[in-house]
Amino acid sequence: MEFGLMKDIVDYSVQKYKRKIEFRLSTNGTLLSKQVLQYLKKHEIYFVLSIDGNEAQHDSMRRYANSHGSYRAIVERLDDVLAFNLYTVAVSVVVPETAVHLASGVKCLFEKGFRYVLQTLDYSARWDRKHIKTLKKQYKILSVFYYERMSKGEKIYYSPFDERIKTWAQKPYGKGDLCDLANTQIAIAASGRIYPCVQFIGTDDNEYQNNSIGSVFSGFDQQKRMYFVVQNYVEKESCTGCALNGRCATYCGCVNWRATGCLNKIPPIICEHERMLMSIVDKLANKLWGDNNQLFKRKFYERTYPVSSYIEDCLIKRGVQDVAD
Amino acid sequence: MLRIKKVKKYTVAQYPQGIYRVKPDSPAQALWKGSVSSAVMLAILESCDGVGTTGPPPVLPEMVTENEARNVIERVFDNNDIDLQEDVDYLFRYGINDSTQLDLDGYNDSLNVGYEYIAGADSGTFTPEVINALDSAQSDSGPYVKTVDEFERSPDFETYLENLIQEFIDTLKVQGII
Repeated sequence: MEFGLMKDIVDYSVQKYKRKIEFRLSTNGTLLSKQVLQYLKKHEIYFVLSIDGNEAQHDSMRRYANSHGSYRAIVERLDDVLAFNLYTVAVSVVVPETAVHLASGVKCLFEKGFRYVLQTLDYSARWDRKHIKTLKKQYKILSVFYYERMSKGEKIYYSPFDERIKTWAQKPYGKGDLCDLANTQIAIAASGRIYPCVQFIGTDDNEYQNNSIGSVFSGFDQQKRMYFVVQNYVEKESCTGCALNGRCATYCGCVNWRATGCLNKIPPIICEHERMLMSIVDKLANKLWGDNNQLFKRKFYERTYPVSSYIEDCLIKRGVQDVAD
Repeated sequence: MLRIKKVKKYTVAQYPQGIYRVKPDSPAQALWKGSVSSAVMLAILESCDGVGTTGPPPVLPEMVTENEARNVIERVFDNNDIDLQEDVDYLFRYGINDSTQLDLDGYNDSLNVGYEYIAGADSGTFTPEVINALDSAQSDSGPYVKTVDEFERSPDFETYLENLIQEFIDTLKVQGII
């Protein structure tokens, strides 16, 4: 974390554009000192925290240069992080080697106080059928956990479940909903080159520069930008007519590009994973609906839920503080 | 090897689609509900003993839904370490020149084993002729597909279904297919 540089950028933007620009951050949390958190709070800079799950899962993939895992350094700061923002999102990435920890890892994150867990597979990794079987078992364990938490009225968000339920209960993904690269989202490299998405920056050298869609110094190359937009929106032949079309995560052109080298060609792992996961999620949702679970109904069918839930949380928090006082 | 495969039919999700809300009564309904006449009607109905011409209309037996059946059946397959893919297209060849495209609720490609709970529109594909042919194939070279006709819900329907599927799996084990 280049904290000094970050402060310079924020100061510059405040000076030039008042508070019209909002900043967000993705961090592994290892350098989130109290001083940094205070600064972030003052400037309303919210962040997502990369933490994969439990210690074994996290440390097998996220290590310092000296090969020691970074898990403990993050966990030590969790109380401060959640005090900064109770709704801090934990971002977890699952690779074949850590698939076996998926359920225990996610449970661990919720037990540590996170309420939002955003999880994705590394689709560019080497997945095989054995891993799919492992993932299936893990998701089934988690579906029981999610069901129990929801039955107790505990508000948790677990993206692999919540996002898929939304595509049925609310609306399927439309063009640009899941990924709108080179259009409503862009990425800028340290060199000033503009890319369709952060996935395309790579090392920002000659090989990657072919993907650049302009520069902050000269503006967009509209022809190249539109190429990416159109390619990302093209109907995928492999998905036409599929009953899960609009419900699965095949719409992320960046992921497709990274895994297959083509924006509109999906890697088989996405299809296998979605087919396996969708029925687990829908059975869970059927059960919660069948139980007349009020939290489930509010969460997925009430447009005002995010606001009403937040107000509810504030009232509960105030009540707890009043009792403490 | 992992592969891309289109799902032809998907019926697992049974919870409502779209923003759900309880529709408020229309003004006419509200008036009717609140009126004296409705109170009189309710009093009359409540005073009936539920037989004869004033009795309630006949109610269709409550059947085990496809979703409930799938949950039980998949659990049994799971317990036997048999991994099934859901909603699988399967071209079933039978007789000399006959074939039909089936959409199986669950199927294991490598074992050639699967099942189908025949409910609703399934009976259009799973005709008596096809079911007989599937049954015959089980004592031959497969496929080994257990078909279960939709049946009436009873308190112990899960146990009944579990035993039925376990018996099917045990037979396949004895035959050396699993």
